[in-house]
Amino acid sequence: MTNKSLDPTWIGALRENESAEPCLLYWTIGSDHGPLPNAMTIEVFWRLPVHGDGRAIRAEQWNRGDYSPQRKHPHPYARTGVRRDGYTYYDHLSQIVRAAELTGFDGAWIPQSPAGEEPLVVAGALAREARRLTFVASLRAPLISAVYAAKIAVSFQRLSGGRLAWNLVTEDAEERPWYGRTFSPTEQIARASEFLDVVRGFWNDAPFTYRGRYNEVENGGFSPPLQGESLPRVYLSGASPEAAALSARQADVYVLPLARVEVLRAQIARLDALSASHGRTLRYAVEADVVARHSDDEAWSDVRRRWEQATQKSVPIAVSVEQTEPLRSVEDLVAGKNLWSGFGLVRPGPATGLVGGYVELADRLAEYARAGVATFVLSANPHMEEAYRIGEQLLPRVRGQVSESTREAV
Amino acid sequence: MVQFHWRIPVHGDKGDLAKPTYTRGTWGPLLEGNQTPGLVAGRPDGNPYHDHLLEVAKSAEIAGFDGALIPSFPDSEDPWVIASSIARHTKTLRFMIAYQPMWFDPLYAAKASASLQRLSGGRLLFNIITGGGGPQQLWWGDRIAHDDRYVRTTEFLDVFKGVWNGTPLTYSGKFFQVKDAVLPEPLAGQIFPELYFVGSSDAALAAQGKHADYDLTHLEPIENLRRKFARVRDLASKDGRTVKPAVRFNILARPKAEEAWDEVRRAWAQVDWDTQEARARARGRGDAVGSSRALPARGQRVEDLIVEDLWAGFGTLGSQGSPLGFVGSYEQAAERIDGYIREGVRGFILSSTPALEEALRIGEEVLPLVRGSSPTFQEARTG
Repeated sequence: MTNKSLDPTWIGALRENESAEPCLLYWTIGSDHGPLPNAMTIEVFWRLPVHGDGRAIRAEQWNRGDYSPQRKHPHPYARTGVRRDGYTYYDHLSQIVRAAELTGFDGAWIPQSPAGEEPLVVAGALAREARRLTFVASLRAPLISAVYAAKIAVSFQRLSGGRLAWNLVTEDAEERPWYGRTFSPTEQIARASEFLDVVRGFWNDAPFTYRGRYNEVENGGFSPPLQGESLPRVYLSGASPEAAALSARQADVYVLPLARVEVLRAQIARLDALSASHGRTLRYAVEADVVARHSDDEAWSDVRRRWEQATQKSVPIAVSVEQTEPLRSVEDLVAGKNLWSGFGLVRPGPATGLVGGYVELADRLAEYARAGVATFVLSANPHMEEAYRIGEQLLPRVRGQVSESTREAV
Repeated sequence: MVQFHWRIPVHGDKGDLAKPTYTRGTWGPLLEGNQTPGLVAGRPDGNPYHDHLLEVAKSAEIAGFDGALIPSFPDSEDPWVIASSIARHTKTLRFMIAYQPMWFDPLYAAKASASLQRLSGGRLLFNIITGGGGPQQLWWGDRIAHDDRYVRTTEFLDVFKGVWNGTPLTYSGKFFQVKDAVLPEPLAGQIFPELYFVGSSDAALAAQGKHADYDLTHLEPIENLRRKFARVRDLASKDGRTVKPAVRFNILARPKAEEAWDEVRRAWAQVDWDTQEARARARGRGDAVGSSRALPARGQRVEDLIVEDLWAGFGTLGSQGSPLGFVGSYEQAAERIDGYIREGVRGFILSSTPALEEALRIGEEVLPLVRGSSPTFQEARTG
């Protein structure tokens, strides 16, 4: 069997199918003629760098945007004064979104970061600059009224043709949150649960009346002009039993921390059982920084070079790696085949990511897909150039692999 | 400096004032010839109503308006979504988000606002609405009593303003408590959005003295306006601040006054009174003081609704914005605006139907005739 992902006519046919259907699109893997029964569908999102970007893997060294206080020489991308030259960081984000759309990603994942741009604003600003990408906006349930979140969402769905999704962030280990209020993990879960109850009721069951612990609504719900839009798909995460229980009841997609495939397989089995007890079926996602090069060797030597740059003592950095962690070598941080857990030490976000050659990483992603992961949230610095690299080099190989394995299974 | 804003029609628009229903947007029936978003002649065309709203915003910008008011209603588009989009697709136009303090946590509101300022180069304003109460307030999930809502508004802005420049804030209020809240760099320290306040009650005016830049009033006969402006001045000066009066009204202007009145009469003859009365019954009443006024009734003529040189039937014609508005020639309209400027008005929010065509007309034909309160006004406007 040939690897169809490398056949340009096949890709061409796929693209034509995509343009024929302007709404949310998932690759249908495994068939040239539409979905096979039980065909595996995967979606791949590109994570937007809402708090700065650059070639380095270390946040303090990013030169695109004005998010790194230690930066001495402002880079053109650092300009944020519309009054000065009309250029803003949103222009950079816009380029990244366009790159992700052109290279075949399904959506833009917009993280919630204290010092970063606000996901709802980013999504609203950029939705019209992409034709088919889904925008996954991350938000915290306690910080926004459920009714108002539903209102924003329905307007966004009308603007974008139903391309909004929500990543509802529920767990937070921060001792002193920037927003000055503390919600225990239990309260966050309870609020997220009510939030989703209210949103669903408001969306689907007008007139909607609700009395909860945190929300009270009377005769709510959208009037006919706003009805008929699709509810944003809900992404949830969190390792605690409460978070898992919430996901089993309320999530469309459960986001797992990246780990070895055996670990993920066990977690997926557990969540499958839990959601089945509510009569539901979950999709699963992983989020990963990716260093992909022509070969494993090339990728690892790139990581070594960038790790050295990130940890050298002469670099003026706000919080040095040396102070928080004993200095470790790249090898010490290897967490499995093509897995590396150094990312979390040098920038905010998930600890573990993928490092390797295109062929090897395609193997890893296909393994995850076979283990039940259907959504991949990928990210790499610098985000625009790497969107092209990963979109062109890695994604077609993953598609091909998942396609073949599905055929074998059928 | 006087600001002119144009009102964005967030829940429908119509190409002809005389049509009984909206013909642009999903708020009217699906009929042949209606610019129904997503449908042209019954077929999907992929254009949402937002594309029309962006056309209105761009027209207002080109016609010389300083900004655009984006109101918010239960059945309207949402102002944050529209503002993010307008910010990206216009160059100089400012945008005023209608906002109720219960929608976001104050820190989250500060973050989202700062992010919008970075996107737009500081073009955000707020129309702070404390909420009209009644059934609509319960629709929003808000059960707080009238006077308490103003306490909440003040507290919200205490926190919102308190963290804006990046200083850690600890605050203990009745509705909001934060400890060491801090808006992180580089979000902190953007241009602070100007605040338009709405409210007529004593509680409202007391609340706005502390934070408002403008007091926004629906148009009223001039004596009422003078009384309101004086109350605003007195209450605000207790806090040592100046709150500038602003008014909002519908405006229908034509080269000759008679042409404008002909347009009103043509539309008035088409009013569907059965629907009007059903809607009035369904609306219910809140506890807002400013908006509790009588509606026009069946059998009244255009002339019966003339109050001084203003006309009270715009709401009945489905022209969004204030029920009371101006009808007349371009020169008369400019004189009326000049009159308000002499009374101290420093902010105008104008609306008309159709929103797009009239934004260009008012911007091109009326605003250039406005002289303001001093001969240097034109330089101030254009410089």
